[in-house]
Amino acid sequence: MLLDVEGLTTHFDTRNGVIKAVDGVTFAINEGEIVGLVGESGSGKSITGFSILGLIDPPGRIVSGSVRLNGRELIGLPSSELRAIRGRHIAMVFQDPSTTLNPVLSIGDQMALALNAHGSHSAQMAEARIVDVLTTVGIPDAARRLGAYPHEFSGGMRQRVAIAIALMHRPALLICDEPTTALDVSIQAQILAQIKRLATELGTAMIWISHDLATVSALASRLLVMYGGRIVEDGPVGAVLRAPRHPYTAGLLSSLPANAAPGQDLLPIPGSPPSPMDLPPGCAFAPRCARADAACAEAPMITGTDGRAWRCHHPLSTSALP
Amino acid sequence: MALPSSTFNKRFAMTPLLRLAHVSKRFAPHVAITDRLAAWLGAPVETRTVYAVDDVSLAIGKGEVLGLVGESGCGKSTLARIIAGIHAPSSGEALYDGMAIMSSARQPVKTLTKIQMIFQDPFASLDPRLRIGDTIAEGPLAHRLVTRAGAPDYVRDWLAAVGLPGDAAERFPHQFSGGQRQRVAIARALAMKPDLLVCDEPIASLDVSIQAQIVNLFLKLKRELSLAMLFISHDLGVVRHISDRVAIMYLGRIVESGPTPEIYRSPRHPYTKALLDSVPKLTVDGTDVVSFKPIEGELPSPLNPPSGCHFHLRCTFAQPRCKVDAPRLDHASQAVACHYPL
Repeated sequence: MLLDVEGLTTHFDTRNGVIKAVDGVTFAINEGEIVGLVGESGSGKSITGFSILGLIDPPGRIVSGSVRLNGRELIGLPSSELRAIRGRHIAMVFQDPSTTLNPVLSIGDQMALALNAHGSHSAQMAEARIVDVLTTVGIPDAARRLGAYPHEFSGGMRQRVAIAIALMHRPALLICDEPTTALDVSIQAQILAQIKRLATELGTAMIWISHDLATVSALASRLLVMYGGRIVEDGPVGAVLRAPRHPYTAGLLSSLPANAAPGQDLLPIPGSPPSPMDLPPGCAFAPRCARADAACAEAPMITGTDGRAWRCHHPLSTSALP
Repeated sequence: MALPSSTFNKRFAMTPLLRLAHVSKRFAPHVAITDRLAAWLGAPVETRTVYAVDDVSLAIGKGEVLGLVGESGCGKSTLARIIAGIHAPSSGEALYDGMAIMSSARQPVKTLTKIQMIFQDPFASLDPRLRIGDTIAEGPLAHRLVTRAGAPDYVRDWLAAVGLPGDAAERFPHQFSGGQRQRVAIARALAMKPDLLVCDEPIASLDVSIQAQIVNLFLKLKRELSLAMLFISHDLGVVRHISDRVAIMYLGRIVESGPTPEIYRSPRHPYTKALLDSVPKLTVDGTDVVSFKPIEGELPSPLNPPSGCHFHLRCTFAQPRCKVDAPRLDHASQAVACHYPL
């Protein structure tokens, strides 16, 4: 077990009340495993990623729960020790590459900073290592582009630099927060293919945060679906997409245009996602769910024997249940 | 007198609702007076003109939905703004029902009320300090589509048409979710009783579970009001679902256009095929299947597009001719701009 997240709860205290962004998230990741974390905006998927790295600033706070990396508890670690872990053992790639890179530092300089954050290297060694990493993420002629600034790179190239920085210390876990959402489809496809190849070669485990089921299905082996700050379904990607058990997962799938004849009405999920400020008690999806009844006032995670789990009293495809 | 019965004449006998003929839009940066003086004296001054839209011809018939697909910087939003009468074309004609959308004085002509635009971000396109009802009624009142006394009922009717309650008229944009705001933006456009809706990425900023609701709303409008639409999206699945015809743009030019089923089944332009192949598809039959094939290379800058066919640098089928000779869109029903179509 590489990463073990248990009961992770992150709240934001605002003037208008407490936002329960992450509300008791539990999952585990094995070494080299690629997990897709899917949810809509406000479902808490990004805050889950930030919480694992301890990147929660006030008014946000991690209320309870534990995050263990190779058995070592990360929550409550002093920031100096967290800094030694960030970038080295766990790295993160963010959505928008134009805001994650420092605009006034050349690519070579900021990569050297990232490299020297964990152990010092001679200038010569550093440059060789940086060129090497940039080349592996698919930046042509890397040695000559070290002096270039982020604005001289395209969006896709900037994201490659951000990925190169994240992979510099060969972290055991890479958290990717919608890294291809801001990119064009043709560039997204290049980066997906590259990152999948790199993760397999380096044996890096990955949490791929996305709202796009198709992207996740092409990349991950396991799928976690989040709704209203909680994980509502967990299982192998193929099995979950073939026969979803949580009505929300099923609703997401059936609302895709690919599942309707052209020109015919889609099957949307009625209503809209709940405000994280005012989550319904029990199952957060119940107000939008056709299967909901009195039992949904409580919604425990139910674990099956087939490596799947779901937070629903009335799951679909019950024939396949244990 | 009997009309000629060939399909060609059937298609072109009636004027299309919207017709663009060889429309181009160039954006030239502002050149400082000193530079202009230097240029006048013969010094080499770099002028970086962007050909955002480059010789585009297209037509949209009454009640027809044209999907426009392309990557960022391909000029699809500029094209939408030319059609909506926000930009004047630098050259060529943009005609609505046979009349120029922009007069020579660059003033939008009166027909503009018949073309309405829906923008990507409903958080930016609605006035935060105006009640929803006032936002919707403003245009119809100004153009006397409705009297001041009749306005509240008129607003309520259009709110109902997009699936919002009547009391929404009294509220402000911040009291609505993204999906509801986009419904308000659609109601605002519809209240002008347009014949043509120009939709620029209307669902891109919405949540996945809300997107399907708005797609259904567009389908309903298409059926019940027989509205023509220019539907711009980078989501190839949604475009396939909603459009009668599709046009694919690359760096300012239309590279392929034709009926939706044909384009998706058998694309003729290598870029169309590559674009369709690069979209990840939902795979349920195992995890090692990579269901997409990326296009090689970077998207070139529109400031400095490649010579000849703009796509030749990334095209696996490119021949020497593609480097020098820009292909023109042919006149087939599935038109393609390629010397060596698939």
